[in-house]
Amino acid sequence: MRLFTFIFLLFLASLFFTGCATVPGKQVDDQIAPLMASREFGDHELLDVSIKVFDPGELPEGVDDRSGLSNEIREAEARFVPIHLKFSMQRTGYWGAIRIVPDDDIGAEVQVRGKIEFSDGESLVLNVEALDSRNILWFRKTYAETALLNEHLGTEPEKQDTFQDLFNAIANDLTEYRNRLTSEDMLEIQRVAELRYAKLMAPDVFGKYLSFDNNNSIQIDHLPAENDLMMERVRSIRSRDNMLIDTINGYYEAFYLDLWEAYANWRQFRSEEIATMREIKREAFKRKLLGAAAIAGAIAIGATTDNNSVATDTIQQVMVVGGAYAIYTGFQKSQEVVINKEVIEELGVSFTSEAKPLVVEVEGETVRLTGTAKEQYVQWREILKQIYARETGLISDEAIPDQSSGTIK
Amino acid sequence: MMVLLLGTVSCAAATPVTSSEDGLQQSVIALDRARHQAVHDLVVKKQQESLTEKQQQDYEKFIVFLTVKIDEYCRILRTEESEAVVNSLPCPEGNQALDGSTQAESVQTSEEQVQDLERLFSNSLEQFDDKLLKEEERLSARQPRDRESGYSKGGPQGQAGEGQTSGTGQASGQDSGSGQPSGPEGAAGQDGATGETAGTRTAEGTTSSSAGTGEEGAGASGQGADSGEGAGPLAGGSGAGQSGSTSAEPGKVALDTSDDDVVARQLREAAENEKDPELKKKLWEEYRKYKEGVR
Repeated sequence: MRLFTFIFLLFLASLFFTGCATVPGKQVDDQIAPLMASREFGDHELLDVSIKVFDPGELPEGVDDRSGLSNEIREAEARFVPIHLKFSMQRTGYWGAIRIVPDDDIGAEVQVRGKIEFSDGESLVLNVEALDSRNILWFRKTYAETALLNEHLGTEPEKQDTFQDLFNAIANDLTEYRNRLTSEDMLEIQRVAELRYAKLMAPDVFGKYLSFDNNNSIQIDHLPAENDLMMERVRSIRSRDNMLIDTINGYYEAFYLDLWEAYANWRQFRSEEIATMREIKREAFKRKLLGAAAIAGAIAIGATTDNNSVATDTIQQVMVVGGAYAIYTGFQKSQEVVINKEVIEELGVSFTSEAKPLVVEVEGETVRLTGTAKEQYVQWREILKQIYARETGLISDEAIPDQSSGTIK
Repeated sequence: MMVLLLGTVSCAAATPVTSSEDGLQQSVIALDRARHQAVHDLVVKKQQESLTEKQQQDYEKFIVFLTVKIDEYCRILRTEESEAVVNSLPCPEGNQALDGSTQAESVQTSEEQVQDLERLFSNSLEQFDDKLLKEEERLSARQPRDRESGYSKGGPQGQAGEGQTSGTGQASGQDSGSGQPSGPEGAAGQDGATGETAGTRTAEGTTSSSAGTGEEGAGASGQGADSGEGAGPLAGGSGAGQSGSTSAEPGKVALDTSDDDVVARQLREAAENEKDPELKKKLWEEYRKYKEGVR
């Protein structure tokens, strides 16, 4: 009886130690439906959202855990994930323009930032935070999802990702927070965003329109007149800035579509290999345990039986031989894991070679466009400064042209 | 603006140049001569109707730059030197006196300056719009990647596929290769892809860029789309067809001129064409300052 109890416990232990892999963070619910707007909102109810390219995070430390993963893949994911989040949010009808931005957007009404905590094709864990232009943090949360194998099927660009539950969970949290805002809140968010941008472009003019309160939130101290010419100039720059970001987003979306198939395949095949490897490991471990239990049982029978009858001897020998064979096949099974690992590595190398040039291309276009624009913005700032100085006669020290600079003053 | 500039030109033409004058005064004179030349060229070319709108904007941009710079130096001289020194220079008159009549002139000058700056701002926005439009066209012309060329399960060369077959029957058995065909191919269709590869895109980009540099000689931004800038005020002069760098002054380290913008290019060309060695030196100094400022 004790022998059977012993074997049963070992069996339970084997199941326990070879269960599903765990990832950090609380898993999002399954089959999360996106919150959809029930009506069309006016402009004053639609907040623009800037989603910053995600922080790619760090690869897992363990050699086995990072097998088949690479920094290049993470870099690709750091762009892919926010773009799919953008598509997920766009469909809800709750938001104005949603843009992916390479850096923090000083004039954003709502800014979303994220970091990839873990991603191996089978699981995705993201840290996401959202805050509005007033510097008020909406939330900071960790979202985790381990995809089922069937979730890798039936995916579709822009609409259905393997981790769609996770994307819907983030979009729904943003929507829920947005729905808590009053119309006054939204107006304030839009005004603060505009004034923050105006301050960036014309600090001499708009430097004192905003201030921080005790909670480090930004509040409006003054508002420009409705027909303020300088604000009109700033708006004309802002609209160009937005158009530039839209162009950059065109490249991001092209990147997303270019990456889609390879990324979907990589995630699916890698997950299958991981599942297979996990099954093989479990089977091998089970055989080894059963073999060890059989040998231990044979020893136990010998120890507890006084009469060494022929029958008992035979049972003992069968158990020992059978146990040894089970252990042997367990080790043989383990060898298959090595092959799985090689396949996973190959998948990683292959996908890396596919993703890397795409990242380089989109990053190159982004740098090129933002670099050109930066020069232009410097010039516009200078012109606004000079206009202000001449319109008001207030030529501060700061406004006097720098002699070492030859830029148009 | 033109009236203002032409009025200042007549002043500059009569300005004597002596080697004993202070450096800043020399700079004012040198810049004013460059402005005089630019205004003259602009007027002549406008009469000949040989200017494009873009070239005219370039001239105006350069002239505004020179005017603002001269104004800046004059203000410094007025503070640090005597009024008599400033009076001998082609400085704006409106800033000199404090009596009522000249104050009115001063207000007028400020208004004109604001108008000039407004125009500069407006032109700059328009130019940026043009750039954005070209970027949109460039983006639209971008072809999606050939998505069948690269990734497949087990590696691009199929070696890993062999490994899969021999190793894990389950894994290789699942290799349907179907993936997500509908999305990317649909996208390719939307973009009108006709089999052009990424390599073609890169080649086009390179050609475009180098064509721009070639047309512009040592000038402008290096973008083919902006080649109109290459036909600026002094195009066809010594600047055209230059290589990517030039010596800003004999004995000095050569400056990279390949990224010169409109103002830098015209400053450089003005320096190259200036006969007076002192003024030439000052114009090169201005060129250097400008280049350092925009970097």
